[in-house]
Amino acid sequence: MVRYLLVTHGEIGQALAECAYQIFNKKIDRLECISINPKDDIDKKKYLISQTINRIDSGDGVIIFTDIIGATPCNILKEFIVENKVSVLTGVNLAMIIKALSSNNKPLESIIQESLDSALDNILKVSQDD
Amino acid sequence: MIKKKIKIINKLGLHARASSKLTELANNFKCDIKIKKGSEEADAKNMMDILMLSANYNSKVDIIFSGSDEKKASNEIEKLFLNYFGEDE
Repeated sequence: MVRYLLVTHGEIGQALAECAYQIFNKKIDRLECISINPKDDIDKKKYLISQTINRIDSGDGVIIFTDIIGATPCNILKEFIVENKVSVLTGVNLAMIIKALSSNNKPLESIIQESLDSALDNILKVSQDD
Repeated sequence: MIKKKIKIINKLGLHARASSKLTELANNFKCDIKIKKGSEEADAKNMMDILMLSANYNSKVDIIFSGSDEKKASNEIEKLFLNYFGEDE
């Protein structure tokens, strides 16, 4: 089963994970978080990310969600990308995470595409009729 | 095929936790389960699909069940709606 890691500025990832736990009404072991803060030692964080990927990967791959392209969390994740094994998706939102966590037993590439589609589909101008 | 028209009676409508419960229940059945609200249609086994319906309190949806276990699915899913998705109101 594909595993998930949130690597974000501050506590964004933790907050999204907690919302997902509330929605699914349970703690989800397949989802872990690492915060990146301004005073962090980046080499230590890279080591933690590397250790976490190796620990959680069950062989079906890891999707890492981050918040914004070009920023430190995203930049440091690039070195962990491995084709068909470890992928990094930016612009994380709750819809993306819910979609990924609902995609049990699907292959990595399929979950990536569905998560990206879901994230984009949920960015809308809301009207009173919605 | 079984079609049920259901009014959403829980105050928060088909919100995230309710949709999660609906998806979890729907995935226990083999039959196809579609939820229609106006011209919009959602797969009841897909939580984000359900949320996109934006089905609020008092709105009416049609739920269409088709497959071998459609009777059991329609009974249990109707019960979930009528039980306010396990919420107080």
